[in-house]
Parts: sequence; C-alpha cells; structure tokens
Amino acid sequence: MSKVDFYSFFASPPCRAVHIFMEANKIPFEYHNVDLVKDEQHSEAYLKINPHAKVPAIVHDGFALSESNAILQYLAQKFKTEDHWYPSDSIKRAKVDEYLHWRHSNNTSVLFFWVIIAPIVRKQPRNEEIIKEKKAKITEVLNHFENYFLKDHKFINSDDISIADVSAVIEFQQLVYLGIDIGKNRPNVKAWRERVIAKLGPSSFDSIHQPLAKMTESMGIKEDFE
Amino acid sequence: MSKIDFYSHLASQPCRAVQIFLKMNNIPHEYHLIDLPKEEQTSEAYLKINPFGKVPAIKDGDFCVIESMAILQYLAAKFSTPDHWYPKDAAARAKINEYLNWHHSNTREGATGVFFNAVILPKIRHQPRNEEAITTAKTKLSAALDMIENYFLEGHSFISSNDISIADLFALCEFSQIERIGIDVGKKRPNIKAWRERVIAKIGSHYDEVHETIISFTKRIDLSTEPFE
Repeated sequence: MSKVDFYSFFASPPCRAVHIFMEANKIPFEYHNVDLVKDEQHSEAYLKINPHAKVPAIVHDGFALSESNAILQYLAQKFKTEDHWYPSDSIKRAKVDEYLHWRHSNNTSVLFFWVIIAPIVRKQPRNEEIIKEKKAKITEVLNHFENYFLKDHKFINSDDISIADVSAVIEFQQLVYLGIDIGKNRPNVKAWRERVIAKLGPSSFDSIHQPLAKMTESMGIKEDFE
Repeated sequence: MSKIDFYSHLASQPCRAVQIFLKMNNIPHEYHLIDLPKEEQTSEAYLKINPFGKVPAIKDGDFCVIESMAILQYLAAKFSTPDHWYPKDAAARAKINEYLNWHHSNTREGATGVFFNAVILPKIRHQPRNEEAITTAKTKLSAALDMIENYFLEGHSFISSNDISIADLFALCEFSQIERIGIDVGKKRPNIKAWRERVIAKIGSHYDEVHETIISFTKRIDLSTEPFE
C-alpha cells in the first residue's frame, strides 16, 4: 500500500489526532508542514490539494481527503487497523459515530484562539465576553463527558479505545496548555485521559505535542477555570 | 425485524433527512412526534432517550442512537440499504464522510444561522432582529454554496458521487428550510440548481409529504423574502 501524504500543522488538534493515529498504527506517511502562521493553507499549491484551505488533509492512492473524522475513518478502513479503533459491529460503530458528529457543535479547543492567537499572536485586545462564553461551553462539554460519554465506560461509549478517544484527548490537550485541569472534580475524565495517553504511547503523545508545549510554555499562560 | 422507534419533529432539517431515508428504504418504523414548541425534547421521558434533548433520535430495541448522521450511517449498515446511500468502498465512503463532517460548520451553520436569526428569533420569540448575526450567517451560507457548486458537485451529479447518498439528503433539507424565506440556493449556481432537481426527483412523492409540517408551520407566520445573493 502506498504512503499517505499528510498535510498538517502542530497547533491544530485535528492534525495531531490524525498524526498520532498513524503513528500508533504504524501507517507509513510523509509529513508536509502547512504553516498556518504564514498563511500557507491559502497558497495556490495547497489549494490544489485542499480547496477548503484547512488542515489536516491527506493524499493517498491518487485521491485527496480533508476533515479529520473522515480521514481517521478512511485510514482505519483502508489500513485494516484493529477493530476497536473503528468497530465493524454496527451498534459499536454507531456509538463512535455519535461522538464524532457531536463534537462539531461542541468544540472546546476554540478557547485557544481567544486566549492565545487573538490577543498574543495577533495582538488584539482580549475579548473577555467571548472567553467567558467559551469557558461556560467547555464546562458543559466536560460535564457531558463525565456524565454521559464516560458513564459506565472506560472510553467514549466503549470499553476500548477508538478514534473518538483520539480526537477528544487531543482536542482537550489544547486546554491543558492553557493551564486548565480538565480532570479536576471529574474523576471519569481524569482516569479516561490517563488511559487514552497510556494506550497511544506517552512518548509518542509527548513528542507530537512538543512544538505546542514549547510555544505555550514560553507564554506562561494559566487561565482561570472551574 | 422489529420496528425502529423514530423520535422527530419535521420542522427540523435533520429529522426530515432521516424521515426521507426511512421512507425511501421502506424501513419499518414507528414515528413519535416530539413536540418542540411545547418543549417536549426536555421532558424526563425524552431525556432518557437523548440526554442532550435534541431531535432526531432512534431506538432499536434497547439501543438508542443520537446525531442524525450517525443514525443514517447506522441504518444504512443495519438494513443493508443500496450501496449508493453510504458506499462500502473506502475512498467513495471517505468522500461522503468528508461532506458530512464539513456540513456541520458550513452548510448547516450558515443556513440554520440565517433561519434562526431571520425567523425564529424575531417571528417566534418576538425579539429584535440581530442584523450582525444574519449578515455573518449569510456570508457563511454563501461560502458554503460556492464550495458545493465548485467542489462537491464539480464533475459529479450528486455530492462527491454520481448517485444519491445520505450527504445529499442533509444538504437538501437545510436548503428546503431557507426556501421558506424565499432563498433560492440555485439562483446563481447552475450545478446546485440541477442537483436539487435531481435529488427531489429521486425522492419523489416522499418529498412533499415530509415537508408538509415546515410548510404549514411557516405559513402561519408572517414571512417575507429574506434578501440573499
């Protein structure tokens, strides 16, 4: 099977989700950096690969694909990864699909934009109203995790790790770099996060997050959050 | 095979997509109306089925599925519906999944944003029109339509495919909502115009049946055409 051409940027959670999934499953890929800070996603060359001008994208076997959920599902199917990643049983699969769609309207990593990108990188004034609104949404999402997705399950709606967990743990990592402890007062979330990272491989997890860790450490961010 | 319990209100775009699919595939189901104007979606009984208090949802025996797209992915597998609805081939399926995921923050966000701010907020909740929100939603919708016109339908008679799939149902039902305020998605976009006619032709008589609710709902309100380019 041919290599996957993988277009990615370290600061993007969906990119890192695809990245770590490919590493965990030893899927051969070639990493192509698309520097979002330099607006490379709008270059003529990149728009030919992904007219949506977003990352991640892959090119494999002559076709291009965007949307991290679709990429993860494709890779699981095409590279015949172990069943738990994206179960073939229709009931188990439905519970993974449920989360993958739900997360679109319940994105938490957008706080990163309002705390770091807008005020620090783009030097705009901090929009406290939006930040407060986003934090309230994050509280809601984490409560849903604690009380629904992880209720009676070790992983999202499941007893084994799937692409849903990969996607979620990486999205929440964005909050960890803002100094937010997502597992505080949420024992299910805390234990789940540790389990997922253990399954993905802590050294792989750390090395994929190295550039983001470095960038945010130098900024010394510690956001208030309950 | 026992019937699927289907929880729905047909003023909702995703509910209509699921209803059309159930009908076109002759999937035995029992329709349960969840009365949205009476807030039935937040009743204790319904929250047991969908703890997020949203429609649609289905129950298959003891097992519930929420999120309309997950519902159709599940039903396509369970009932072995014709392959074109959700192709088994990895690459073909991936292209449908690409649209489904893109739809949330693009087609749906734009179209629903316009409908909510131009109809629900001012006409149902009697709050002042939020012109900023409407402009933002229209910009989003316009960009989404351009992407559908120039990418998803480029070289295809249906979204990323040469036959109808679940992707087409979701897009069509968002557009039928804003049609109620006079927005014609095919007006300046010939690929979309032709696609829309094709999809409706495939759906046949089910299309009008499924849209009865939203048509009568919007007839009861004083709706004017919403300007849109």
